Amino acid sequence: MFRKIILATAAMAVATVPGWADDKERLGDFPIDSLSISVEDDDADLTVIYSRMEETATAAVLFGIVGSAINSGINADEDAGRADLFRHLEDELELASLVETSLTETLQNKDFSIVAEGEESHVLSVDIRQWGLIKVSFQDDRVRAYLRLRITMKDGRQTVWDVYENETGREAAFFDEYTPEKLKEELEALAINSGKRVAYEIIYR
Amino acid sequence: MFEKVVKLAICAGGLFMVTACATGTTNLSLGLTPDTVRTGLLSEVEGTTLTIASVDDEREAALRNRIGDKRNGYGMVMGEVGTDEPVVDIVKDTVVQTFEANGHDVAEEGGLQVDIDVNRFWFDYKTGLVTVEFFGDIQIDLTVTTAAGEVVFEDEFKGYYSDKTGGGLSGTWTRVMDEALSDLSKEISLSMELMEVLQEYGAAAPEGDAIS
Repeated sequence: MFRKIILATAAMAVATVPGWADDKERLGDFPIDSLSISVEDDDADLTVIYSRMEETATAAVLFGIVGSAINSGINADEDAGRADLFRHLEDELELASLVETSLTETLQNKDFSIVAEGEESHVLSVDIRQWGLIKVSFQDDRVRAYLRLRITMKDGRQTVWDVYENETGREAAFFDEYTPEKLKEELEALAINSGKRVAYEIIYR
Repeated sequence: MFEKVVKLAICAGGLFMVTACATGTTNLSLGLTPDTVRTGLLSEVEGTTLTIASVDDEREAALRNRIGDKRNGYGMVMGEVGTDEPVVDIVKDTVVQTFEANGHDVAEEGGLQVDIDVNRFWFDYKTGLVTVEFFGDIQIDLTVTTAAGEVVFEDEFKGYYSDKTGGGLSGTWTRVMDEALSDLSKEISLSMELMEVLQEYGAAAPEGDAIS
């Protein structure tokens, strides 16, 4: 708990920097002769966002920054406990493989040249950062599956595309109704869909 | 005694002020901008004529008067987030722009009939220790019917966007919902099934009857 408080406080300086629209978020319409593709899920975190979706500033108002940090830590612990119910899926899910297959097949169907690493004009990397369940909204107690990806494309050393994509499932259900099988099935569908989406973003850039 | 009451009132007022209370309704001006509408799979078939026959607000009844809540630091609802234009008009405009960007004409009548149900149109946020993550969440059902009355396409489309920042007011809220609309447009543009329906059942678009 103490470590979480320190880490959360240390992240403050970075996190409070306002977000802004990065010009690399949209892929430009430039020629792509060939692509090498790499999809990774080694660092993907199973994350449930439930208690954290309900977090308010009450603790900060009443007990200051330390109270807020403790409250955030408690909420994160509760969500980690929920995530533990699905922990065994980390070994069963092959999200990277599903994304890569659908991405590659969709591009090849449009005659894109997919080549081995080192032979490409552009390198496409898809990094699966998070997967799990997210509460639909503050007042809606249902949850749905989600997948968070970071997509980058490089032309030599220059990054020409760098964007985060969030894919959420269409179905929502109460947390207790989510079995590992149901979550697995929905995440696999999301992974396939994500691969297609990334491919179409490139084709129709 | 009076002094105590005044001190208590000052304390209460101080507490109120640090809870980031924002009352009243903030209306956002939402919509796709031309540079955010992209072509997709729908552009691969010959242009056809479509009519937006209906756009129905099928959101939960209790949520139809707004698209989000402004909550204070304790999570209590203090105000509403609304829109300048009705939600159904915003969604209709998004769908029309999407079809038109893909080379199809949206006419007052004739051609394939498109019916839209808006099931969700919600802006929300979660506060972390020092950050706020904003969410835009849109879900619609889109049905396509031929002139003969045959339903040839039914599917749900969603637009979703989230952004984590140090904070944000109406400018950020507008950007988040506009990005969700852009995502909705993208998802419609990239529907293989819808493309196949336009290819199979669409008729060549006559000139001069498009609406903007």
